[in-house]
Amino acid sequence: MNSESLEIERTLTKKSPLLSVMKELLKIWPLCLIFGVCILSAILAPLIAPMDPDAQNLLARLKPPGSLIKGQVYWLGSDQLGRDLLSRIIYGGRISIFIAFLSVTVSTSIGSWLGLMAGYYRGVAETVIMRIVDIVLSIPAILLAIITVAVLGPGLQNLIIVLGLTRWPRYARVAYGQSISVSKMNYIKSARFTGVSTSRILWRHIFPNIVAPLLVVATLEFGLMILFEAGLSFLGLGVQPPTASWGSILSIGRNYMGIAWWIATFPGICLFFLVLSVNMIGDYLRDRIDPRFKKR
Amino acid sequence: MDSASILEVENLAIKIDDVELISNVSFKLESGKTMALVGESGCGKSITALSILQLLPEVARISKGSICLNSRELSDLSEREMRAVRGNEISMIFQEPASTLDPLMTVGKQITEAMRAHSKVTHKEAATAACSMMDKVGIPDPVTRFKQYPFELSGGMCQRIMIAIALICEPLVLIADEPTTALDVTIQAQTLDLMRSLQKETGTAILLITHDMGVVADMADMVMVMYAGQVVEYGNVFDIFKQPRHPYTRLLLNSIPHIEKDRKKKLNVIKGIVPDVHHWPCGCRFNPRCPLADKRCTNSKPRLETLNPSEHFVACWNHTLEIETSYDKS
Repeated sequence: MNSESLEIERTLTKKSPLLSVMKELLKIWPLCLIFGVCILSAILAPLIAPMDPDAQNLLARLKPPGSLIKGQVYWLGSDQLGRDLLSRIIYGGRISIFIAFLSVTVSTSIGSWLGLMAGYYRGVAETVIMRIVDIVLSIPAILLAIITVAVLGPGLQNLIIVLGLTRWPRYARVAYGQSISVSKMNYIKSARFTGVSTSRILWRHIFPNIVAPLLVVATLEFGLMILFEAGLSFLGLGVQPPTASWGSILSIGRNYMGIAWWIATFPGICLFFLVLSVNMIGDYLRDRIDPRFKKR
Repeated sequence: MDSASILEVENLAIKIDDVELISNVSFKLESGKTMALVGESGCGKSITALSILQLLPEVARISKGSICLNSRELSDLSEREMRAVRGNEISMIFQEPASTLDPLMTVGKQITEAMRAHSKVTHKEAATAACSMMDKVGIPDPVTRFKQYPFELSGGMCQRIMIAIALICEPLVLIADEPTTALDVTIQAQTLDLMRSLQKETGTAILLITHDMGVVADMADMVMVMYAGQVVEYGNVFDIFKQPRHPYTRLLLNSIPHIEKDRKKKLNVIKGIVPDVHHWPCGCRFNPRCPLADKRCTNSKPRLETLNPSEHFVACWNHTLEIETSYDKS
């Protein structure tokens, strides 16, 4: 009964979930601004990048930031093949964000669907799904990613598949817990008693009521996926040259730290700010939204 | 079979493993009439209702008996056929209205959902029907309310929405499981009035599950008193209130305090507690708490017998005896 009276309380004080999320986000506008800049520059890459990221100019190798060569300003310097670092970072950010976004989408879809099923149907479905979740979660994440890439081969497409397939258990666990408690709610019972079909109950009643904590996990995972991609590309298992991604730029920049510190530093700074802003936004949202769920 | 009987339950028994939760429950629901199912918590009222809808928890099963809706045996139906019955021919409303509505769906959509689960109507037709239903249940300005969420409505309004959802498909039977328990007294009265007027209009039979004898006196035509999973008394509301025969019914009515008379006296209680399902007493299940119990009561279970020409049944060996504690015949 306790959880039900809390549910009623929550019902009476809750506004439209999307609206309350947006309101919360306005309070942390600097973080949202950083995140927004990163996303916008990724989307508008062809418009804002000063030069072609793959255009090599061997006469302009390893130039420091602010160098002016043949009328072109290399704002962040150039790399070992004379390519403009700023343009590579902009396009690289596009790749990193694209990979992170797609892999989060894939793993959220798989994870929340399986978790939802496990929590509603219980029984065999629950046992099978949650035991697989336990197994996958017991393997260290980066190791799992490396092994899977080693099996599937490197490359952009496989990278997304790998990240999607190895991260879904995190969502499944959250979705499972939420699904169990929502399935017990009176309104689900009432929908069953009204003769509503099971699929409609799952997707129109249970899923909307469990989506909020999943969104929070998704934001946190987004930051992690950026880092994973960077890590895997750094190890040569991710994006292949000449495609730029922050990880691959970092990887090469490592070799030139002594003579061209900017190659590794600037992608690193961008990575730092993007992941920081995403993580802090996710943390903030979780603190604002989750406690009410934790009470159940 | 009575021509007006819409739902007939005969010798119903429900078991969990080897334990019998309810045994030998029989009753008839007639169109346009209300039957109250009365008893303490744990006597089997709710589980009887769940069994009618074939929605027993997985561990429980109907071990004996039949449940016929319009001469159709409900336990013979497949899950798909049963889903077509629920919400359409038999509806149910629950205790806490606010928690029985999905907090993330507008109330209008929840009503149309009930409709669209059972008939192929367009969005517009369903919305129109929902608005007129909302009007019928007394919700002011239904078009605005249609787009509102449950948290924007009061408890009484939520209960009206619940009733709208239950009655939108014009069911033959409405099962109301303690519909007014969570509401304050004025809203309680309004809700009961609403149910009564809708019943008059649609001829729906109502099975009203409650432990509140006041609500029974207000709404019911027939009363069935249950104790420990069995029917102990069954009859029309006037007979039950004016001439209760079973000691449990008598003590139950006796325990209702009267504001003028009993202010200085201690409240009348029924001593003891409902027995545990695994340890049903031998013979009559009420005998450990019964002031009229004797050896025969412990040895053999009394059967439901008719008392007089009218339909008044009681299951008691000693129902003709007087109980020594004073009680009101009003």
